Amino acid sequence: MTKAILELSNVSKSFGRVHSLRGVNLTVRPGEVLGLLGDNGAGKSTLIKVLAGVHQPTSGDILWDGVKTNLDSPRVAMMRGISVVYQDLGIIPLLSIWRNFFLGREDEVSRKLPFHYQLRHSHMREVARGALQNLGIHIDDVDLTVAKLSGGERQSIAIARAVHFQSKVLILDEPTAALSLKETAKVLAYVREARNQGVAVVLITHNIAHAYEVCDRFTVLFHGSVAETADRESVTEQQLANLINTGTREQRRIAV
Amino acid sequence: MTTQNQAAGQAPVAGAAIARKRPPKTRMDKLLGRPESGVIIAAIMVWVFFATFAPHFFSARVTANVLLAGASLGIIAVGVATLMIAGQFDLSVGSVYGLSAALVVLMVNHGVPGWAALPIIMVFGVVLGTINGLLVTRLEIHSLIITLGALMFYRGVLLAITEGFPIRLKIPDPFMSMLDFEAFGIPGPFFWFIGFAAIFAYVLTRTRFGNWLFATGGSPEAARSMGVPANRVQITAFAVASMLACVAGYVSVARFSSVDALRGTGMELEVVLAVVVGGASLNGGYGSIIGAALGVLIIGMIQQGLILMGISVYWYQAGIGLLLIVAAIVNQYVRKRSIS
Ligand SMILES: Nc1ncnc2c1ncn2[C@@H]1O[C@H](COP(=O)(O)OP(=O)(O)O)[C@@H](O)[C@H]1O
Ligand SMILES: [Mg+2]
Repeated sequence: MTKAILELSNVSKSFGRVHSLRGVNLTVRPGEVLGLLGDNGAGKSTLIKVLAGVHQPTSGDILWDGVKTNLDSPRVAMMRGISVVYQDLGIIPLLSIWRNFFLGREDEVSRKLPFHYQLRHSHMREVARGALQNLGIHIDDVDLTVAKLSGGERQSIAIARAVHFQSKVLILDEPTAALSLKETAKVLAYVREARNQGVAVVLITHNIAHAYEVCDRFTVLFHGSVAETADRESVTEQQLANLINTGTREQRRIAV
Repeated sequence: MTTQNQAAGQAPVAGAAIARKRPPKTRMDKLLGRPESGVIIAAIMVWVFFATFAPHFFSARVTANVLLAGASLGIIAVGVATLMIAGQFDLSVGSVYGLSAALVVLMVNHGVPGWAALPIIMVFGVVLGTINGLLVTRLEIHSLIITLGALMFYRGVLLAITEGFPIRLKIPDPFMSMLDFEAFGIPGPFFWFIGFAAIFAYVLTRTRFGNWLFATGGSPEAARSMGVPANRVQITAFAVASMLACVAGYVSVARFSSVDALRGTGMELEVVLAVVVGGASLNGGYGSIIGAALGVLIIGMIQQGLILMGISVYWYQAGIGLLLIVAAIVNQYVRKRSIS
């Protein structure tokens, strides 16, 4: 089995008296798609914000390549090679598509001049347009402000961006929630492609069918704790649904 | 699972949106798609109006007056526009402008050569702005509150050290006299204004830092999640605003050799007015330096034009107020057009 690139060990996160994560263990390996499942409010978004350096764990450790580390800020996480496509943020409505595309990554497409990085406008437009086309998104005018795009289009741009800046770890928060069947198929194909290139992918979703299609392993969150981590071969779709709903493989109501 | 069905049910709608064909942009769309579109039209209209109705509007002296009146305001407006685009305000620029002018006079009178006073006062500005920025970003107190306090504080300091009397350079400083030139009938301070406007127009549109400014003003949280050091960006913008206010103070001393304790009073609002007329959004993330510069020139034209027409100066305020409201309406229209 390949060595883990990113690990969470006994991580908890509280917001005041709201305990969003309790003692979570998680392993992310290169060349593998990890499905992070859980019902709304289970703590999936909080968990990936910890991985992305947005939140600091209240307790517990983050291991990068086996070494204990801190992800103090999104920039630190990004420099490590962690790319996140967020459900709720990650795109600036008033900026044009191409400016959004390179936001935070400008140095790679800029001229390094004394005191500043000069943006290469036409080069950036071209690269952004190409990267979008690769994902099957046909928006010729990358000067449009993102505010003019549909939710699905915005999500696609964020994904194209993460795919373009081939990261070591690619985290996708509900990437298919707003996409058509055709676009969903494309995105899932991209997820597979990224994995085949050795990227460690974390796919957050509550759509079990999508998850079962591409994920090699699942970690199911239930009320902020890990209900179970299982390989695809060792779990059925129905058992995953039960894990999401009840925290166990059995189908029973939580209330009793 | 209900969630699965939901996702499948939503899909075709979203799919249609992705495949949605957009009508090609017309030339009108392109023209009106920029923050400064409104102010360009307004500048032309104001200019044509006074060119028609104000006698001698074209004379060299009047042009020089318009440009001179605009210079200090313009240098400060460049900084305030930068800061507003980054999502913050600075009400203290008028006080800092007055205080820095007084400090420059005092420094030179105490034997500091004029060429050395310039970098010193610029560093002073950077320090004041950084303090504003740290207080606003670290303590998460609204910038209107912090800089309102700063406005009162620095004005108070200025009144205290001058005891309310005007102060002036005892002997002319050779470096400062050299800056007070006039070329092609254009007064020296105006070149400073144009210089800074050009530098910052470049920084905002062509550099990484400019990208970060717009992103931070547009949505600090999202910008931060994309790796933009949003706090540092805003602190830098505060530093730029105060630094340029100090440069304006220096330039005004070079020009007039004196300061009175009320220099720059009320300027903070005039600057906001110019910047907003120039198309910037009070919510941050949207605006332009060129627009702000034109806003400043419009104010100068109205000032001089009304004088030339023999209209009481009392009407000046009314005219400026009207301008702001009309400009805000036009800019709202332009902005809506570019984002929906
Ligand atoms: N910034 C925050 N402050 C307070 N509570 C939060 C915050 N973020 C998330 N939570 C809470 O943590 C819990 C888990 O939320 P979240 O991670 O968004 O779940 P999911 O993404 O699985 O739907 C919820 O109860 C939510 O209200
Ligand atoms: Mg979520």
